[in-house]
Amino acid sequence: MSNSTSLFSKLVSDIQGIGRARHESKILEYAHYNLAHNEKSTRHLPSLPDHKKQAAILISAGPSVHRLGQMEQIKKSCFRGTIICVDGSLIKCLKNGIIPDFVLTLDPHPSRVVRWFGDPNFEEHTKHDDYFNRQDLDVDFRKNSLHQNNENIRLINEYAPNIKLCIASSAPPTVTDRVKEAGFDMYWWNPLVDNPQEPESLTRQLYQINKLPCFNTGGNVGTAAWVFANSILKIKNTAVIGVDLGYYSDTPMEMTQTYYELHDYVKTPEELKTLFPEFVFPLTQEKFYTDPTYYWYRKNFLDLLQTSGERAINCTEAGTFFGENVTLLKLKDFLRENA
Amino acid sequence: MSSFLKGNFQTKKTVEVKDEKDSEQSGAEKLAEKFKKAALASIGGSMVYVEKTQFTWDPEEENNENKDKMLNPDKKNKE
Repeated sequence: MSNSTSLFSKLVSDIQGIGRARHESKILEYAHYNLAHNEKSTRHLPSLPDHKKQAAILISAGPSVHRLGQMEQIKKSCFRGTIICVDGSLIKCLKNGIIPDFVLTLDPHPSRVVRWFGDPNFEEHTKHDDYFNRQDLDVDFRKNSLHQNNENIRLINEYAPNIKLCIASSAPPTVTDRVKEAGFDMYWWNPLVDNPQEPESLTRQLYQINKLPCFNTGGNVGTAAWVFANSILKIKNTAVIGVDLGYYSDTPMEMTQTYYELHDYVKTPEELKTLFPEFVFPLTQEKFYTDPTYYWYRKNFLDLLQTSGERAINCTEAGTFFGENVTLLKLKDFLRENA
Repeated sequence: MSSFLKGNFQTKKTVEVKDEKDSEQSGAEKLAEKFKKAALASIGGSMVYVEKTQFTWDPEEENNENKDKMLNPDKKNKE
């Protein structure tokens, strides 16, 4: 193995170990905070009507969704199945006239996640954080404006009571307070973050705090949403879109999500370049690249599929998510087959 | 340094002088290591724990299923 690939591999393998100390206390702290709000869990979800059980589309938040106009495709189609979205794609869904049946949120970041629900403390949270400036999002979010944020608050407040929000106990107080204020129909769950049979298990500690059901996240809300569709709703025929797990080749490296952190991690520009490996998406032969974080999410999702024997239907039509247990399909074909 | 400065008394404790170059490298390396760890802690995102082998875990549901089996053993046999 060359030095460049070994640096990348080492970084990916180190991610989980080093992160533990930093994140563990926050996850437990938030579980305690959210205890006061755990009226309903995902055990209380009502049964789906028959037409919603046949198929589902999971809308994640990767750049391909807006680049390929996939929301518009769904809106124009005759699809009557279940629509699930992640927090990061909720506002885009609503702006396209799609009211999802379920939304998932999981990430404990104290100031960024709340943006997806309209942030009542927008100016405070954006003062020293250019995270959203560096994302390949649609224009509205990149504009980063107070006006747009106020519009988002209004939109969320209008539709929230009609949406089931599956919220993890790891959600930060900023999100919990905001979604309660908006009036979402909330169902709680714990992230299954390690083997609960182990004596020091964090999952077991979470369960002992709140007795909520636990399901796997793969390290990110997109994979968590797929597990939700597959194992909680039991809809095996679930297509995912927006699961890019990487970047379009015209995205400058400086605009990737962890560019600053990776820049601090390496010694030379040449080493930095090795942390952004390229992939060719088989369905379109288009080139994409990824970073250690997305590569780790990709690996987790593929490992879960391999261990379980389940298959994922990927209609993202872009990115790096492909492999042995992944069926690649164009969204229009999935929509036609499930009209 | 010791070739230019000479003391005119004997110290009670033995003074060990670290090599300046080693101290600088040690400090710089420690700082680099600190940045590296801080960077790595952010790189994985916020949910860095991953369980590999199971999709769900719900002891309450498992208990209910076990109770049901105990209360309705015939149901299990018919199935």
